[in-house]
Amino acid sequence: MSNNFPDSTTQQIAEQPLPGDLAIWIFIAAELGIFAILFAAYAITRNTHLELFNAAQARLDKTYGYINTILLLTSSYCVARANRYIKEGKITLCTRYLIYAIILGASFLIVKIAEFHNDSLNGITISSNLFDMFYISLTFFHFMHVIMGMFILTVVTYKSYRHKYSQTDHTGIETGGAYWHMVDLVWIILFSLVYVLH
Amino acid sequence: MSPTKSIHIKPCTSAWLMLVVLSTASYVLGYNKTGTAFITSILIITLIKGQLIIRYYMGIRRVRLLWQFIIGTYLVVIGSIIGLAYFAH
Amino acid sequence: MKYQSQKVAMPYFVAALVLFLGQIVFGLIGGLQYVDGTFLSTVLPFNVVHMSHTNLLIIWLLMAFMGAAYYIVPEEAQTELYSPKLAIITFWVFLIAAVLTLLGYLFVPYSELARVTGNALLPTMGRGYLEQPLPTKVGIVLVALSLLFNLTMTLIKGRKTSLNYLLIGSLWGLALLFLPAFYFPNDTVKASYSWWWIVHGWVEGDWELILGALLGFILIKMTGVDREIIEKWLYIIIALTLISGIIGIGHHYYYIGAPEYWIWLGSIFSAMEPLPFFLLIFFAFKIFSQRRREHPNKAAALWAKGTPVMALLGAGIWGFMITLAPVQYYTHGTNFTAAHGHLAFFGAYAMVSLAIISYAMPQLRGREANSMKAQHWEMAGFWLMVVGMISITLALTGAGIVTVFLQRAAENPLSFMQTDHKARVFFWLREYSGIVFSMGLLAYLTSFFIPGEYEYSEETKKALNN
Repeated sequence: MSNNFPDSTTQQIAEQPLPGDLAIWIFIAAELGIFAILFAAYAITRNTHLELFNAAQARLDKTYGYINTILLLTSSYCVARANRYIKEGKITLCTRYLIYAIILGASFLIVKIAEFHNDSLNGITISSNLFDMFYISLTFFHFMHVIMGMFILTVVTYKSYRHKYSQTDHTGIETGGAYWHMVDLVWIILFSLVYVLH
Repeated sequence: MSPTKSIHIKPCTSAWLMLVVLSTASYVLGYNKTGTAFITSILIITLIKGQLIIRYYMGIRRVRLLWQFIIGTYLVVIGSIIGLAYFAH
Repeated sequence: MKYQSQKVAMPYFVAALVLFLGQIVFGLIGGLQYVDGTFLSTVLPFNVVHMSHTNLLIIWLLMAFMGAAYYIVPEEAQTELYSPKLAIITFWVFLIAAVLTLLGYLFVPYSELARVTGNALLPTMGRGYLEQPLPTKVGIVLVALSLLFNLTMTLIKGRKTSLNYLLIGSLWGLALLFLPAFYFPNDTVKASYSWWWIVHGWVEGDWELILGALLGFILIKMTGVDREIIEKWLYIIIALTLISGIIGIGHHYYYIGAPEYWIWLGSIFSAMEPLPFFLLIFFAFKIFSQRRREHPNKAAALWAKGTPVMALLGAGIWGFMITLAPVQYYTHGTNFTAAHGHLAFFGAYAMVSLAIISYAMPQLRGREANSMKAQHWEMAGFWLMVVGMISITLALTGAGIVTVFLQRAAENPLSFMQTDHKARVFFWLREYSGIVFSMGLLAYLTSFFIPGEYEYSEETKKALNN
């Protein structure tokens, strides 16, 4: 993430271990696997219900999805910067950027709730048709993961605020950050798949 | 990345800029009609965005090549399944 | 055993094992009634045998879990149990209620039982596993509250560990999830929903957390591996359990009149329910391989490693076989379900209960481990029960296949009884397997009566001479 080193030393650094605790990577792998199955199910089902999917997808407003994509990307960016700052020993800046990340994450949740509300007004529910079922299920499942990620980020931010992390010991930030980036990664696939691709 | 004399942009920042640009491109393209070119470009954009997040945000860039390969494969596999489903009819 | 009050676990464990034996007696009778419907049919109609078998299972498992909690919580909290006396009183209330209920099933016609126990006040009787009269159900709630009060007070006054939080938290969950037992609407769809909140919520959710906690405790005690490592793995296993299991409840909602989206959500999420079991195996074996000591209780180690394997087989594999909606369309309510149910219940919950009893009982009797002679009997019991149960499962799977081909997916389906008749050979195989299982249980119970502690000097000499 942070890189003040010239290219010649990149080779030496290429053998670092996975950032954060190994356990979170097992968990991330499982989560990515679960979402992969959901995405595959969506794509394969679409194949046999083309017209329905296209018609129902047209009822979605891409703008909500786009705003949420930018919010989540920027939130992830703030976490990446916070991680860079703690590596440089700048604890206060680290905490500040973690707080920005949380604010942006909360904004995502608010926009998503507004979108769900708008959906229900337009008759888009989990029972209205097959596409809507996938759309609601996928985004709601993702929504729950954003909440979990927010919870983890809050714990990490609080600990950072209390100066529990240092330049040499900040596994918690990397571990929590890894989960948050996974949530972001899943969203960008979801955005392309459900909102954009038709 | 060697620091230049004038602008000094950190990798994660340039990754973010790329991600915003690519997301905007997807959003705008999304209003177009469908077609092979459209589907292919969206899939490729998503692949690039995914790699940016994985390598720059998650920091996998500097990790053992095996992990990079595994997680990169994940994106390719998902992209392929989606691509197949979209193209195969 | 570090705290005197841990001793209250003993009566719970003993009662659990006696009730387990009772469960198997009814199992053997019921299995025989499958192939000879007249066997004891006048004094013990099949429905009575069936509900005695299933209710005894649940009661003995609850006894075992409670005993385990009374043993584990003080040791984890590093303080005596809040009220040992309350624990003993609660034990007797629970046992007497269970015995009276069983006697009610056996000696009073069910409708009469319902009448005299006030079912008209608040109807709760009649659903599977929930056949208990209203007073018994209320008694279960009171017993649970007493347990939770006792354990929570102990947790508050002592050391707080993740494991204790997990165990006590999941026992709270167990109690709360029982409450839908009091909700029995006329609408059969709603009645099914609420039934599954208890059954699925318990065995594919809350009880998996208990299993994790019990296994985690055994691993901490027996291997000496760092508590942090073990607790960390437990977090992941628990998270995967809940992520897959909560929406996975949908695999019970496919064909009961629920909305169509459950076909999708239930299939996709329940398909992932085997995941935590894979991790559990990896977890148990890895931690054991990294052990820092050779614990003398080899039998307990065998139970601890055998549990996740059998749990994966029964819950994970056999469960997966019948979980996808298109498959379940044909297998719903067949002997596939019975096969899965038997192997899953035994592999996960009976075995983890026997594992904790195996670890704790010697401690309660004042030693680190039993003599190798006793342990050999116990391990023989393990293998016979495991082999017996796998055979039962295979036999019932065979019966299930017959049902699917002759009654479900057939051009000209046979009737239920005709199909059962065609599957006779499998029901006989099941009964023989049940006998093997019973032999295993008897061998297991015998081990408790073989005297002697683990002979450290003897065993070390043997090891050095080899």
